[in-house]
Amino acid sequence: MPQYQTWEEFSRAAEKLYLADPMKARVVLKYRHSDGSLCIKVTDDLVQWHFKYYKILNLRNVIGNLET
Amino acid sequence: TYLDKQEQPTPIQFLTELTRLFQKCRLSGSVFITLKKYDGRTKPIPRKGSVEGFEPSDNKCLLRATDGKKKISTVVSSKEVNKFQMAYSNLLRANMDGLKKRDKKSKSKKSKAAQ
Repeated sequence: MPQYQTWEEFSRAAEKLYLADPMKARVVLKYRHSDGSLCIKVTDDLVQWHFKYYKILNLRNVIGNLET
Repeated sequence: TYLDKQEQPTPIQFLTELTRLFQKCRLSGSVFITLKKYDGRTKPIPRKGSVEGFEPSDNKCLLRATDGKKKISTVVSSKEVNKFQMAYSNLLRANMDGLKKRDKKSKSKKSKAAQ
C-alpha cells in the first residue's frame, strides 16, 4: 500500500488507476478533526494508494476527482 | 455497485446531512467520504448473462459518507455537477478546517532537503 509524499505523484497515480478501469476505481477520504488529518485513498480493490495530508490544500483533489 | 430502487437523497439533502456528520465528529471520530463512478444500475450483476434492458449511463457518480454509524449517500449527474461541486467544495473547505496551515518557511526548507 504505497504512500505518496507529494500531491503531484499521488494525483498522477490516482488518475492512472481510474483510467485503467473507471468503474472499479474509487476515492475514499477520511477526515479526523481531532487529529487535524486527512487521509486520501484511491483503490480498485487490487491496488491501493494512500496520501496522508496535514495541510489545507485538499480542494483541488476533490474537484479533480469529481470531474473525472 | 448497484443501488436499491428506494429513494436516494438529493445532492442538496446529502450536503446538509454531510455537514451534520462533520459537526458530530469535530471532537472525536472520523468522517469517511467515498466517491466513485456510477452507471445507474439498480440490480446486482447476475453471475450468468446480464440484466435485460439495462443501459449503463456514463454521466453519474455516487457519493457516500459515514461516521462509522450513520450512512448517507447520493447520486450526482453531470447536469448537476457544476453547482454541486461548488457547494461541495465550500462545505469541505469550511468543515475540514482542522488541517494545519501551510508554513511557507518550513515548506521551502523541506523541498530544498528533498533535492
